[in-house]
Amino acid sequence: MQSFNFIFNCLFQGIMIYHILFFLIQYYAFKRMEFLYYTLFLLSLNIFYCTFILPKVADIPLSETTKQWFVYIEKPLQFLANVFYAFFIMHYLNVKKGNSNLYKLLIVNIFINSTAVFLCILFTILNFNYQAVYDYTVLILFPIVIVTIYKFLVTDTNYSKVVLFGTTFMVLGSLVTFLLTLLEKKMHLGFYFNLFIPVQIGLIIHLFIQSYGLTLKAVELDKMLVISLRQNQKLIEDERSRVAKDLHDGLGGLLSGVKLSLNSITGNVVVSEQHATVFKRVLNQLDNAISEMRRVAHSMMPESLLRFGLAQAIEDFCYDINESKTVQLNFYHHGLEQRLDSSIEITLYRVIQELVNNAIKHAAATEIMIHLVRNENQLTLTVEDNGVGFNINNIQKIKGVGLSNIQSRIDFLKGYVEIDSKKNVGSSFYITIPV
Amino acid sequence: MEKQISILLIDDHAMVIEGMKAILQLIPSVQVKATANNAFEAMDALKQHNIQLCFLDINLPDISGIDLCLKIKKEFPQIHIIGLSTFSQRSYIAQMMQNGASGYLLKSATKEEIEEAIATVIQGKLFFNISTTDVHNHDKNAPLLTRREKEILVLIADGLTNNEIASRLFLSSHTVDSHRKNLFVKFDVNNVALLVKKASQAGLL
Repeated sequence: MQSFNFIFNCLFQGIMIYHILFFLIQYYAFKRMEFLYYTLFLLSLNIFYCTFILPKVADIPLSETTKQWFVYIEKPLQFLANVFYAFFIMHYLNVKKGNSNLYKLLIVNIFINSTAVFLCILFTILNFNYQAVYDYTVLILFPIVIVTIYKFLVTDTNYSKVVLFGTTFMVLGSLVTFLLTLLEKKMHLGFYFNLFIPVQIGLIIHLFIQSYGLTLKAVELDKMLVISLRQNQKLIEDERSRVAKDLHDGLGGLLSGVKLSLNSITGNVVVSEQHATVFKRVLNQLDNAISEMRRVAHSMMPESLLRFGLAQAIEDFCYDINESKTVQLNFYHHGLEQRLDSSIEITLYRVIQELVNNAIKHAAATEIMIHLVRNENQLTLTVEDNGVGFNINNIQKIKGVGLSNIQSRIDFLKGYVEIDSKKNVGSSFYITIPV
Repeated sequence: MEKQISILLIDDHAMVIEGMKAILQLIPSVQVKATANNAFEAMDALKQHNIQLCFLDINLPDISGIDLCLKIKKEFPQIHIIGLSTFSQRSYIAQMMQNGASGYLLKSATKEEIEEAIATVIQGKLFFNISTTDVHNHDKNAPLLTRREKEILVLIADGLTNNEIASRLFLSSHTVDSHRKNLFVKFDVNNVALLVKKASQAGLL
């Protein structure tokens, strides 16, 4: 039955190497420690299998010294794998100090296994045969099994359930192998297959379930990230509107009152010409202060946006910019009678603000067109200028100018941005979002 | 002596009320009959006094000046209302006028402006100290098109299908379709034949 064991191990190696590469790539893609620990776990486990089983099942001519080295490294590697696995579980389930018994157990596990690694190396150096003790070390796994099953029953997230479920298979496989080894020793039954096959089968099942679990977690984390970023965005906008309202209502009212009171003095008192000039200047400065505050409050959060909606707010915005006479804004909108979700309105307002500012500042545009059309469940926004334009191929360099900011805002709304630009003709930004 | 115009001041800022009072005292033809800090007090004051003219802040703590304006006009249609705001904001002015206000003043207005506003409004005319020209004065017959829309319009007129346009412009047919829909909306048509007709009438083809 040599060939059965050999074929099985080839298959096993294929699956292992595939998963090692898979998780390594995941680590490079996501930069999450759990993937790194998992890769290290698989790697050390696989070296263990190569050194421990391959010489038994395949007729590979090996020199005596190589065989001796294999014996040296196979044992510590198994414990090292356990250490990595404990670290993996810790990162994966986000187990933190003091938040559960699982943490204590994992620490004990890491400690015992590290000690085992250390002892293996020490015994090898001292040339001390510890095979008899080693055979029983698989029992270290027992407490982990119990806690894993317990955790599996109480945990609430899908992905941790899946991963813990996978872990049980691996541990079960080890236990079957352990029992079979005991039986073999006591009764000499002469199994025709390699006794490590149950562990390997357990590990394969575990791997498949684990890949699924890790993917689940990645998806879930992604969702959570989007939600938390959205909440942050909302917090920022809420805070902005609060500050803008305070400025506008509080300070604005106060300054206006001061201006009115000062106005009532004019012509009422006899003052020297010099004082009259100073007085006039103070009035002027007060006017400037009021309009400056208006500008700040308005750019923070235009009240008309919250009250009357996107179309009105953009009209105000265009009006204010057209007042400056340096640039002509045209605003066309259709189908916006119904108010949109406030997060969409605020986001689009900011995007339009940013695009128009870019067109004025960087593209030196004199005419800008803003088109906002709602068609059933789709909203299209086009901002087009007649500025200097840029080379689309250099978009990465230009991205610094708030473009990536726009991209991420639109990504949040599950929309997409298309940019078109020609030198000396102008740039167009086509944005589509579902509503 | 000529009969004075009775005035009610509605604003939640004490400073503004004091300031307005101080200025209005300098104008002999008017008299501030009452002041109010919120909508509730305002309605009370309107019932008690015979008010001819209201200065109404657009931001009030309980209900907004815009809503209050409508309410006052409904119950006391003969009262003239001048909206008061810290800043000029077209949308607010428009809403205020829609709800029956006769004029609009910035709080930083001078005595002369206030005097003029009162004189104009009391004659039943409208008064603004803010220019309110329309922002989008585009011609309904020839809507403004984006560059991409112009490109696609020409290709539609040439009889190309969505897919052909998409492959020619290196776009997805979905994108082309949304531009096409926008064109229909802008020209207010529902088929290609009408679109082409209207577009060529407007000189876009």
